[in-house]
Amino acid sequence: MSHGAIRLIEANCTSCMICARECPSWCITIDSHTEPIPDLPPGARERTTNVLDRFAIDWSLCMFCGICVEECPFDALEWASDPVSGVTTAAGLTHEIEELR
Amino acid sequence: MSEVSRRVSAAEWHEAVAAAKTDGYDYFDWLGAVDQIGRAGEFDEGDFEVITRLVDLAAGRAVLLRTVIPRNEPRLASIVDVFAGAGWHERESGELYAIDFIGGDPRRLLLSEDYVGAPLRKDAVLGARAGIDWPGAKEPGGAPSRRRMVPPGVPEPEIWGDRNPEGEPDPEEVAQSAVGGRVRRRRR
Repeated sequence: MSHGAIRLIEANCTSCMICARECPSWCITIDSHTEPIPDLPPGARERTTNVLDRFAIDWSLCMFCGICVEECPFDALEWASDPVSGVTTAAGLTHEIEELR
Repeated sequence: MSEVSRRVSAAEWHEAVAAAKTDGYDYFDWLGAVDQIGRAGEFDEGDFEVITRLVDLAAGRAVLLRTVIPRNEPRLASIVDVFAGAGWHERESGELYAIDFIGGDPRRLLLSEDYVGAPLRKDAVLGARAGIDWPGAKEPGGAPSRRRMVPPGVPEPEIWGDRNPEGEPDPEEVAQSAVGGRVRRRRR
């Protein structure tokens, strides 16, 4: 697997913030909110789960160190071989969930 | 290769290097410096440690010569007259730690002429980092954080920055403030 970009496996992400905190170049932004878990058995205490709203990697800051891939406890990040394509503005290098899939 | 480590005083530095050369350690390997701020006890004489490694290729042995120089007067005799190759290493350590190698080449090697400060000193702060929001400060689920967290490498604003009312902070405080785990809770 060549290290062209980092892919997000959205289903595995729990919005735990570990990757954003470990990132030495501060390139990962995460927004999340909590929602109650539906279909709990009757009488069960109400519980909530984190729902990912936004996951963005700013490729203009990322140095491809792979610390986020290593640190993710849920294997929600992995190396992808297709490199990040070039754009004409720095803002265009911030990839949201759709582009990170 | 067997390697020995020798501590020498700053006053004997040049003499010790020259003596090691006559002793057979005639190959200069490298010279570097370490900012030992905050490591009291071990380094109470001073705050920078300058280290050089010399090799005796014929006998297959090496020596590390270490000396300690004080932070408020970072001066050390240059060893370029013993090993000319040490010049680049001295220029590098000299500009990155603002150490004055007496008798050496005072020109800069890596930094630009207009660069202000000594970036490898542990009290050198990345100002841009202190000025922008850290993305890791948010909590999972978006709940407002009850902990006030600061990322590693950024000193607490009480110590360094606009909110410090007392002007110039103490280098030791800045260095101490910026270390710690990957995520620190801010001390109050």
